[in-house]
Amino acid sequence: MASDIPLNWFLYFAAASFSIGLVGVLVRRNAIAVLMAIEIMLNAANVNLVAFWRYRNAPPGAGPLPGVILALFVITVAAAEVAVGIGMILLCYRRWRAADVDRYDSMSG
Amino acid sequence: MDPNLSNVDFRDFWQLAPATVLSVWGLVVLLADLALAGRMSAPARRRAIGWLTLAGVALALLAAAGLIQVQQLAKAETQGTPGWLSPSLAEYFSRAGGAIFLGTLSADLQTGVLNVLFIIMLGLVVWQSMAWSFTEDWGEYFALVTWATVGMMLLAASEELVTLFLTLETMTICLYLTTAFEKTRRRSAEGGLKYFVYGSVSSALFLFGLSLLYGLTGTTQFESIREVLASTGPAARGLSGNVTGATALLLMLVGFGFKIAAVPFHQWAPDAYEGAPAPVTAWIATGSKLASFVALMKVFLHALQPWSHPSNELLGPGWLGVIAIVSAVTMTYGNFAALVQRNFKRMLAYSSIANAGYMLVGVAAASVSTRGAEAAGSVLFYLVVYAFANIGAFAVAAWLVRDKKTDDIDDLNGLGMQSPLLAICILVLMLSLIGIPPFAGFFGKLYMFMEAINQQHAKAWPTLMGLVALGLMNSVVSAFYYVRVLKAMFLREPGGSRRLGLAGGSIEIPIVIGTLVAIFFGIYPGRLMSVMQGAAVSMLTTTTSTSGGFASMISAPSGTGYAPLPPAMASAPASPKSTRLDPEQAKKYADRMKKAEAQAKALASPGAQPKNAPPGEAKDALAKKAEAQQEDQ
Amino acid sequence: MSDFFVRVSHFSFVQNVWMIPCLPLLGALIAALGARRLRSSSHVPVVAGIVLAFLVSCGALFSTNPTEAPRVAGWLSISNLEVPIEFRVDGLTTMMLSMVTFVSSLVAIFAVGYMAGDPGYPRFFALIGLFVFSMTGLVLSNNYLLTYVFWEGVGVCSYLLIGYWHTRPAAATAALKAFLVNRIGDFGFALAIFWLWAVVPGHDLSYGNILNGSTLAALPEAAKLGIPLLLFWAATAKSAQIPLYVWLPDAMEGPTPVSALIHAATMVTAGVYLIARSMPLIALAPGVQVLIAVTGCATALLSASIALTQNDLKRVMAYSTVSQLGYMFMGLGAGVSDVAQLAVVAAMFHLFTHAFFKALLFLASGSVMHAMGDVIDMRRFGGLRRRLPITHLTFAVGGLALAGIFPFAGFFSKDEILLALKSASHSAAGQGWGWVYLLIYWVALVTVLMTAFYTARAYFMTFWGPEKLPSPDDPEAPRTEPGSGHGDHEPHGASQDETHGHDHVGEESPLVMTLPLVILAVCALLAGIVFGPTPRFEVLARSIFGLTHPFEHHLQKTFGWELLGHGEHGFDLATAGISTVGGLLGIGLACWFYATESSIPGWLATRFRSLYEASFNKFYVDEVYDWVVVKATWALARICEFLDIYLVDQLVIGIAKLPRKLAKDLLAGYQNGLIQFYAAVSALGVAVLLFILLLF
Repeated sequence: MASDIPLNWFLYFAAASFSIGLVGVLVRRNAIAVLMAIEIMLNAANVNLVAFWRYRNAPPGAGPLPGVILALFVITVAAAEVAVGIGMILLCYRRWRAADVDRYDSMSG
Repeated sequence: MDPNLSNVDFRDFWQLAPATVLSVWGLVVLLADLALAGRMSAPARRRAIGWLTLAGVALALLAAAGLIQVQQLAKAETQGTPGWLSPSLAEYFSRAGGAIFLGTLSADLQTGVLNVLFIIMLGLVVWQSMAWSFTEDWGEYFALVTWATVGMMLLAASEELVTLFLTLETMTICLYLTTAFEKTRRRSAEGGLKYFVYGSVSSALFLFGLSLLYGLTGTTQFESIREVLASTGPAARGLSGNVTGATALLLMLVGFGFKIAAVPFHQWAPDAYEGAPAPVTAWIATGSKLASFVALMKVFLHALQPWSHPSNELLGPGWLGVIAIVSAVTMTYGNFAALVQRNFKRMLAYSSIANAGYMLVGVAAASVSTRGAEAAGSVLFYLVVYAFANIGAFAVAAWLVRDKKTDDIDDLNGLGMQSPLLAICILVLMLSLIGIPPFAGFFGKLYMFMEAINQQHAKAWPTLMGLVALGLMNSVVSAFYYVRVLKAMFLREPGGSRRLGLAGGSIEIPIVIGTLVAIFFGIYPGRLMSVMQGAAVSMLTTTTSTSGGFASMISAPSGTGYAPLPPAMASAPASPKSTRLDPEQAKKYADRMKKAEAQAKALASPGAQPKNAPPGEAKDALAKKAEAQQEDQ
Repeated sequence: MSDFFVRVSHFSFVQNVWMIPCLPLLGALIAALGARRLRSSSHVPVVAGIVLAFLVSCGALFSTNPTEAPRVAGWLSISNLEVPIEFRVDGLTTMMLSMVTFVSSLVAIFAVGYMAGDPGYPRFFALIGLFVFSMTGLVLSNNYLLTYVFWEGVGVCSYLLIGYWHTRPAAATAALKAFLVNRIGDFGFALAIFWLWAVVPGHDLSYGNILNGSTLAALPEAAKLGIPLLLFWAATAKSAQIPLYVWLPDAMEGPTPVSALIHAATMVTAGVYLIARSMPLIALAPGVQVLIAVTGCATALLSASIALTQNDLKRVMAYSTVSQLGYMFMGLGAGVSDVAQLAVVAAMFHLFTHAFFKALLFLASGSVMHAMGDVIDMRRFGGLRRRLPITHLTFAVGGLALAGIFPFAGFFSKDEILLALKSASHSAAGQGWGWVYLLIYWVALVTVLMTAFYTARAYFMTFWGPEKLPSPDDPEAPRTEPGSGHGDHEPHGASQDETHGHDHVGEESPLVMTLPLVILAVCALLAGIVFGPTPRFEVLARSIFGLTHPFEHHLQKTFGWELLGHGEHGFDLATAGISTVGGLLGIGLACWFYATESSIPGWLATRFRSLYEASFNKFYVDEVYDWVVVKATWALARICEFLDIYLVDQLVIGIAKLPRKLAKDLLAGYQNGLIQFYAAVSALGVAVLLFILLLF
């Protein structure tokens, strides 16, 4: 089934969603949206990892942890990041009464 | 299912003792804080929990030092293994010392030495945190700092990309949180958020690069990545035209560049440094940087080494050119930007950026030099010296914030009159950071730049020479802003409404220890240097759990780590000998490793030296030494 | 307990020589750190450290092993420069060690009495300990770089101790002068080291690597001439030879024990030691050896003739030291072809005996000074032999030794040098230098006469004649010394009056001061006979002490000296006779002139006015230096100042402002506090780097 779809398709998809995520990080003002964009980037990488795991043969001496395992770990890491991120955003929101990342610029130079 | 998975040797857990102790201790600290929360005031809890954490640090130090000791004892066959080890463990330790957990982590001299260093530095940071009440949630704070350290220790030990990513995240997420811990200051929250957003983006970039690298090689293990990259034909090797490879490499560089604060991935640093409480800043600037540099060197100098400089061109198409450019820009930018800073911590942030630039010179040198391990060792030496000096410097920042509520350089005015001894210590720290001769910072720079000059690669040599020249010029520039601190301390009258109070132990001790390190390793750099070079050897070579110890690995010319040079590289004029070792060099390294191991052991346990050896035996040893010396002449 | 004895019997002095420098250092550290608590007992740790170091030195003396070089620790290892802390325990080193620690112990004990009550008491002893550390390290080290480090170390200690009374302008100036002049020499040493590093195999600067036959033979021709020359340059400054001797007389501004220890017995001989240590290297350049001998001879003659007319007791001794160091260099210079070893041993033997009698003379002078309330001008006191009996006797012994009268130590060592010069004149005849050595030989004999004269003059002026104690209404009391640039000794008294007090003027010094004098006097009396390298008295020495010229035997165990020619000892009655007659003649003249009130000196001074004035004003060397060096430097400095202010400064200020301006205008803009901007910058950075990577 998956072999019907060429590997490149997955890669194009991953690259595209990665770019979408990156652009989101760069242009969205709302901190929560930025957080979501970061999630998209992480998931793009996950798509890559799983696709490569499925399509590529591991060379001799490859470690015990293939890409798919990393993808699983990344999901948990992303969850942790979201938790931490939401906490931070709340902290800032309490002080600035705003969740816009471009408001937080008291330090510069 | 991968059949290997059943082969985990559960005795490997012993090798993780220091990290385990710290992880568990983090929980203990949390629970203790929970129990005390209702009964004690925040400052009282600060002290109580702080001391509890220190106890855990001491325990972990004991574990780390003991681990080195056991490894060495078990390996020295003549002395026999200590009786209290079970036979199974004795057997295990006598052959292990390489990779553990199926090769995902390493447990060798490098990790042993770094673990000890991390724990000592953690102790100083915890100690420094007890200086004043910047938060109320002491349990969470100390637990997070401790867990960040666990991340660092494992990051420096990782041998494989999945572990690398996970430990990197463990470390960073803990540091994001602690950055935002100073509840009374708005800047702390802002710094934390910026650190977090920037860090998350860069880790996403890193992960994407990592996924591409996985796609290119089909493996996550450093060693097999290296093999795959090296075995690809010479035409396809290198990055010229290899868009995927180049992208993967650069995206990974973003991840590391962010952690070590290299331009253009540095911009979070000044804000996060200024916002974070001083002890956290110290920990970001030293421990995190040290661990990330080790990981960077493992990935770039080991796994991606075949890409470092495959052709004979001046800059490319390997990553050497990229690292050279990043290094040059980083040190120049850091130093120049530091010139105009008024805030002490912000100045240190830029100085930390500049220092990352210097260290990248060493990394660049290690990638092409025939003395790769020496060059990498000199980077480690510099990192250690830099780390201790910076912990001392951030203790000064903590002092300022505690007593003056601000931490500008001008707040130091008149310190020379007020507490001359501490002022002199700070003077030494600053001079060491500038790189003035009798202090360790000088030798750090000297070793690193000497290694950069002292290699024969015909084409890379001008690049490295240029970097060294730029580095020296930058040292001069850096003198200006460090001297501003001295000027404030010694030439200005104390001003402002608030006066600096007595420093107190939690400020004094990090400063004094930083000073002592700067002085001791300045007068006597040889020993630390040889330990670091030994660590670098084990850092840049692979170890597998199946073979007997790394010393034997090194002397085995056909071992996986020492594939013969590919023909294209071997036949090239002024062939760039990679960090791969030919048998002779391997032997040399093996000898050095043994020496360094012995010294590391001595460092780890000063009392363990065979002082009480029977005089006859000691005399024999002396006679042998004298003989050897006579032969030398 | 038995275990303890086993350990003691296995105690290797050679492996434990590191204790010799470290013990005084430890003492110094304790004295410095515990200054507040120890106060007037600050001397205890230092004296104890030095005495213990002396004991260890004695042990090392008997376990000398020229081939062994115990490595204490690796120190520097940068790329291909490896400098371990490594000691060499051979004949030359152990001799120097024992001498240095012995004299230091006595001087330190003397200083306990002399410096009592001084406000800087702990500082003084800490510095003395530091000095002994550096000096023993200097003679112990087994490579040129480490030697250089300690060489600088003794220089720093000397600077600090000369300027010990730093509130006095004269002392501060003298310290600065000593330091600067020594820096000129250090520069030569540093150049020699650089050169050596460049030419020796393996860039290994250790003596073992450099001073062996194969290395020396392989040196380039230019290095064979240049390196000895540079080493000699270094030695002229440290050991006060023409043209760099000018700092030593001024160094007498320091406390007298310092003058005795550093500026007579030990540090100033470092140059002699360096040349002797490098003798196999020096011997490669006979031309340089002639230069060494000529310089030594000229220095000896010049400073002896200056000493003839000086009125300051310590200054007489200072010029005498310069003169005697000249003798040592004559000996070193005479080490050509087959007499090489003989000559070097002679020079070292003179160094050895000189340390005793010169330290003795200085300490005795110090004792006089102590008793006279810090007055040192010989015209202001006289006839002290009854008031200061012990000082008087010990001074007499020292004086006789210095004058070279049998059987005092100086007689033997001086004759050795004269003999070496005479032999050299035969040996070097083949190279065409024979006449030079012969000339030097005769000049040296004349200098013997002058030495005896000025020594006896000082002795008689101080201890004979009508008794006279210093009083403020003396004609010489205010600063009346015409033309002497640094003759202002009054601040001397002024600052020390409070510390020493005048209540004991005219009394003999306490036991703690006289005891070292007596011990040194015994050494000055016996060192020649007991250790004499001369076979002349072999029978005598063997019958009394069961030893035959042990000094020479001991020194033959020096690393690298087996490369030196080893000629047969001669015995020259003529030399001994002439020098003894010369010495007695000098003493007789001085006795006639000064023992009683006499008009002859005054008559002579007016009769040979120009000569007298020239000698009295030290041949105007200081003035010439002032004009040629100091004034010229000042003029240059003025020009530089002008250029600096109007050209360089403006440029520098401009350049210095540029980075900050740059940083402020250019860089600060990028650090705008916006996190998304930061992320964009790094994304852009990746793009640029990718571009670079793919383009190249």
